[in-house]
Amino acid sequence: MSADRGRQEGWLLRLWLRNALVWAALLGLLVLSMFLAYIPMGPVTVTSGVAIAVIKSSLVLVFFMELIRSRALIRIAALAGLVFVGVMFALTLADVLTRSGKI
Amino acid sequence: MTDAALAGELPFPPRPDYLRAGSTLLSWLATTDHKRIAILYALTITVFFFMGGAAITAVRVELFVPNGWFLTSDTYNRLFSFHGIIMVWFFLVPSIPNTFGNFLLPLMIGAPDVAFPRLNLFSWYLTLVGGIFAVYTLVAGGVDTGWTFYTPFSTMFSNTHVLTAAAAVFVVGFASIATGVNFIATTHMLRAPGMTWFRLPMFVWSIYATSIVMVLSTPVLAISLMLVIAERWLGLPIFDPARGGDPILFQHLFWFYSHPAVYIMVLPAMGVVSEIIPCFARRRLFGYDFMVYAIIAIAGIGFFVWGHHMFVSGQSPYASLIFSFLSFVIAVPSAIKVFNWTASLYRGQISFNSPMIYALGFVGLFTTGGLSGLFLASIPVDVHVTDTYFVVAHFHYIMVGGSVSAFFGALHFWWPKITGKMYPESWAQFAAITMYFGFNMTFLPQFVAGYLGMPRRYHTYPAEFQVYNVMSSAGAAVLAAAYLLPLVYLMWSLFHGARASNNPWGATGLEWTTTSPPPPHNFDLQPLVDRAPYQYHAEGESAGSDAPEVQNARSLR
Ligand code: HEM
Ligand SMILES: [Cu+2]
Repeated sequence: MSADRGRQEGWLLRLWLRNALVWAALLGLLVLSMFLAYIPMGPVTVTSGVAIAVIKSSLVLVFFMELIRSRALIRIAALAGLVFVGVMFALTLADVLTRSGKI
Repeated sequence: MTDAALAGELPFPPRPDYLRAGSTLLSWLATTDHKRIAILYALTITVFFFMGGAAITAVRVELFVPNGWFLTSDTYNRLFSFHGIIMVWFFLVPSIPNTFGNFLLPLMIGAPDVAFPRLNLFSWYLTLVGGIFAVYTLVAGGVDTGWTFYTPFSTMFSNTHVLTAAAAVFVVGFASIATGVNFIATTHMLRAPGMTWFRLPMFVWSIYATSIVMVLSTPVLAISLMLVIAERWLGLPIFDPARGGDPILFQHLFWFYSHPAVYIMVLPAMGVVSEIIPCFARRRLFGYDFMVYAIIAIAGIGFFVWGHHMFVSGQSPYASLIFSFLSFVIAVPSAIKVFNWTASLYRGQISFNSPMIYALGFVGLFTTGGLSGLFLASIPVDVHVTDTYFVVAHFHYIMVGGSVSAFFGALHFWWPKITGKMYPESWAQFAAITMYFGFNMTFLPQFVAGYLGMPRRYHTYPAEFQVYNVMSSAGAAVLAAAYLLPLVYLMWSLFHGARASNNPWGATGLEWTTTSPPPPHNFDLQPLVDRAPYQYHAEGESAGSDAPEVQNARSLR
């Protein structure tokens, strides 16, 4: 009984610890992206911002949304979200990247 | 009951149906019963329907003559904007899913309720909050951006209540998402034993597909409205070209939601029609499997075509080409559905009860709307008719002629199940036929006016267009009368209608095996499913010519 409770508390502690770590990482990346925005690096500025955004959302997906240990169906559902965001970017860029500027 | 008696069991003790299982106001406002929540939604969207209708009545009165005799241009802009916002987000998007979907989805799959009953109620309250924002917007003076909130007008120039209007849509969007999540989970988790995926009625498939579209697309609507608010209110440079923004980006985001959203509005209607036609033709649904694939295909491809709303926006010609091509692709599954409904009638025993009249009306009007969509998807035609009444006619054929007709079809088909009462059939047939003609009188002339060049969203117009506008306004009066009629005789039936039996149409489907109205948890006995849907006759034969009751005895075990 008490051993059980001890194990449960250990689990809870680890959960909090892990989430706190991920949270700290997210905040760290936030600060980083803010500083990078002020350093003039040309196109690299945008790239770095997007890269950081990708890392941050992956952290949320994998740890906060617990995709790391969910069933295949749930992962497919999450993947669907990703695919359709991909569609949104791809087809929008099909316009933005091919504008001649003098229509 | 009869089954239990046949099996030698004792009859069940009497128990109240869901309508009588509690009569206090709280028993409604705090209910988690999907059937009661459906009723709450039905009342809410009826109010919104008549609010949106009142706004457009004033517009049609204004357009009766060319010179703008009735309204100022500002009032006119606010009225059609209010009409669009209310009709799209507060009527059509929630209409079939949140009323009939809510009521029928658990019944059709043999479940006691939806997967998350409290989330279901929460979604209704969100709709109310959104509705309060919308009505506040109107009372405070309105919004004049149209339902599309295009930048830079909405962010930089409009002096009206864009913020509260956007907030209204933002909030009601989350109601949509909550409902979508709920229905997806319900379909996955709560199907009765034996109810395999390919035994699901088409209505369940359509609600499932709609829910997926809701969950995937509505967040983008929320984001695009947030960005409008961020630029208008906080001054962030997002769409303003002078500060490095891109005004066309808003259109991409908005239509990434709103084209799929037009399928949110029409897929459930397709589901309804797929239930009604087999029942009143006493015929199996032709090509059930392909109907399923087609609905999934429409839901998926619906995400790939939004740029057809932007052919003249400054979008690159290369992108327009891609979007034009993809828009033609999506017509294929839509056509499959139309052909299959038609083929389902072949060798049927057709009777023209009111739900069937609405369903057949749907097929014709949806086809007209869809074909005009193909015209619009062709860039050379679209450059000519974009922003004219041709477009207005196109989408009203689908959304009003199609979806609203199907909504009324569903209302008449399931009314006996929902209320336990029968309505006067001749009145219902009369209303259905009036609605069909009123609709065509209103919107057919708009194709012509638009093709001849009458632009949309202006309150004055050259005199040569008056004849079309007079026809249209006269038709609108007929249409309005046809919409009011069911309100009267359905109300009447609640008090004076004959009691409905469990299965007045002799239809297949689990919802018809329980009592009318159903008990609070839907079934007295856990249903077991051992067959595919729509078995109105033996396979490979034509519909039997015996009375529905007899066929029904054969088709339900
Ligand atoms: C066969 C499939 C369809 C095709 C190819 C199609 C094509 C189009 C095109 C090209 C436009 C843009 C016209 C313009 O602004 O110049 C358009 C507008 C529109 N369509 Fe469709 N359409 C289809 C089905 C639908 C359906 C099923 C609905 C609704 C349930 C719908 C609702 C609308 C709406 C609301 C607009 C106008 C939006 C606005 O500008 O306010 N369409 N359609
Ligand atoms: Cu579209």
